[in-house]
Amino acid sequence: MIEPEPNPDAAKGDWQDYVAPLVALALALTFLALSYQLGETSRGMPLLFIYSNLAFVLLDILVRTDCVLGRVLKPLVSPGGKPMRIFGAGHKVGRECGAIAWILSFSAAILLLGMLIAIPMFASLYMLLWARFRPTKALLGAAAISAGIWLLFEGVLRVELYRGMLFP
Amino acid sequence: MYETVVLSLQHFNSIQNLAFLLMGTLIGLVFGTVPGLGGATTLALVMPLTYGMDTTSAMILAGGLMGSVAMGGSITAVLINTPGSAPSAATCLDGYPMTQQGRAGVAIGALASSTSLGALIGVFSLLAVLPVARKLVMAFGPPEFFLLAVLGMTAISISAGGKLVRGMMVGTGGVVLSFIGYDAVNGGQRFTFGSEYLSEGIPLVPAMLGLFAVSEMIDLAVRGGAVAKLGSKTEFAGIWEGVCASFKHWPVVLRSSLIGTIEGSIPGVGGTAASFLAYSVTVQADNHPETFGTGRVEGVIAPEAAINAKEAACLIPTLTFGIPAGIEMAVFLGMLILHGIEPGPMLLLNHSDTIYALVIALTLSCLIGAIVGMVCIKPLALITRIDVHILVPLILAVSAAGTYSIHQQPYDVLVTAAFGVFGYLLRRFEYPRLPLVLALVLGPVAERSFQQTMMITDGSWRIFFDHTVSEVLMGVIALAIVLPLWRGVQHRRLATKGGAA
Repeated sequence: MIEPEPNPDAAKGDWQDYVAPLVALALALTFLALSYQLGETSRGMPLLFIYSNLAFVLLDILVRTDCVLGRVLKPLVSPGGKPMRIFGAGHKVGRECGAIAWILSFSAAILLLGMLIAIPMFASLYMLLWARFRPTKALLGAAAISAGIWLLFEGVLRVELYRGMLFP
Repeated sequence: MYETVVLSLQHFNSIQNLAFLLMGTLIGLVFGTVPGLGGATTLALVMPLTYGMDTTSAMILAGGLMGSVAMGGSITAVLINTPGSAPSAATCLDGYPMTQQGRAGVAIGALASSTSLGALIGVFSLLAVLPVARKLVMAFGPPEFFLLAVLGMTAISISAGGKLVRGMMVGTGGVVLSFIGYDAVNGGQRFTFGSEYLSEGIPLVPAMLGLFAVSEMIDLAVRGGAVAKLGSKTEFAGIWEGVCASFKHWPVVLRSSLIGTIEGSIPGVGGTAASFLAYSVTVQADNHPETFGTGRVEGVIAPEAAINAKEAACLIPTLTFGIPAGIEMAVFLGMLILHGIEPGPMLLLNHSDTIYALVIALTLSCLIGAIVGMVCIKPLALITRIDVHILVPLILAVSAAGTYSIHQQPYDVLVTAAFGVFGYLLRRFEYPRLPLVLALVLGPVAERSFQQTMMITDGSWRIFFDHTVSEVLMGVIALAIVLPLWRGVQHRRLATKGGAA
């Protein structure tokens, strides 16, 4: 029997390569548990796809390893799948977390304060703190964006923008 | 029919009707660029304004609007990776990489010409099919719907490129997510965690906006600079090259337009499935499928031709049966009724000149929209040179307001944000996003049609082999599965031979 060639992309025990499939595995198991709480007819289709998903997640984990089966399967099912890195390899994890935090904060601000407050607040703070614009440029930019949104949606389209949970 | 078409053309002799056509086209183009608004919302906003107008003028205005709204959404998809509506998301996949490489002009040129050609093919198909439309639509029942959804899902294996297992993982996960909400077939809630909001399921447009627009904004916020990558020059002179590309790749245009026509004529399948299926089939038919997603012009041509061919085809079930082919057509039905027109089989007998005027307006608006798009490319492409830190708050604010305006539902903004973060993580860890989109669109269609089929047949699978349309669809599905595998084996064989040489 011919021994398959070593997988050059194999993570060789690097935990970073396994984070995403392990998170997917946890999610799939959660949905599996939830499916069994559904009625017998309702859970048929979801179970079919959850078990398929589990099989693919396990296969994804397998092809990342350097075991014989992983090396045989990788060129067949994931030839273009490169190992993943959370840190290093030119990734700015701090900036990525920061950018995601801005998005989530903006959404939370919309929900709580409404769009008429959240949009100018987010635009000005983003340009001041993240983009490091001069205060006049940031404030002018934020005012232009907010006025444009208000004019388009409330003025032209007659859609009342969300006023927020705190100001119903 | 020829006489009716000539009679309908005479409506365009009046300056007033031409002005309505131009107005509809411009409204469609401008509102199409606003993420989340789409044709349905824009049409709904314009509908009350048509109340005092004569019916033909109102139809011309609506035709102008419906024909150009998709074009507006695709321009922003190409330039800033922000699709104006869900079907335009497929245009992002290769259009945006072209912009990043400084080939925005080529992409817009290809978009404009394929839009026009797709619309023309769609309209000719509509004119050819209208007399026999009833028979065609009746040929599609639940088993055919199910097989169509399965055909769409086979595109997952193609669209994943060299990451089949990752694509299938995202695709199957996406189907599970599409089950969130009220189970229409068996009753009861699934995976809603007690949330009333989730009982409606995951809203598609906010999810799409998140996956494409918001995830791109996160990337831009991290990267800084401008959309067009440093060192690349935005090439405006490439417009003509782009226009010619659609003629050069005429089989792609023809095939995608036919896909758009077929999908558009079937109620419930929708434009998103048409554009992604056209894209996937183009990838599958190409000799180098791995190069898609890196800025291939065919990746812009295919979805655009399908989207605009679909616009005309959507009118088939809407006009002949009164069954709206999608939400935009549902609003349009409302407009017909507002003007005293009863949709149904008698429509073509009683109001044939008005309907043909609408079809002509739809076609002309695609052509006008394409010309306006090409003329405005210089100012439009300047967007790609703006500092991204101005673009990020602007696009996020428009996306949030656009998302909210669809259902006036604040939680839709949260869905957009959540899918934005999810989409960014998928990109970051090299999982394809396209399977998720396909799964969210086709998952519910597949489940509903399958359950209906099983109810009709009392659990027997024989029905899939009893109808000619089903058999043809199964053949195409088999081909869609076997072809990429066969091509993979061929590539490996060639690579081994090359290595040995």
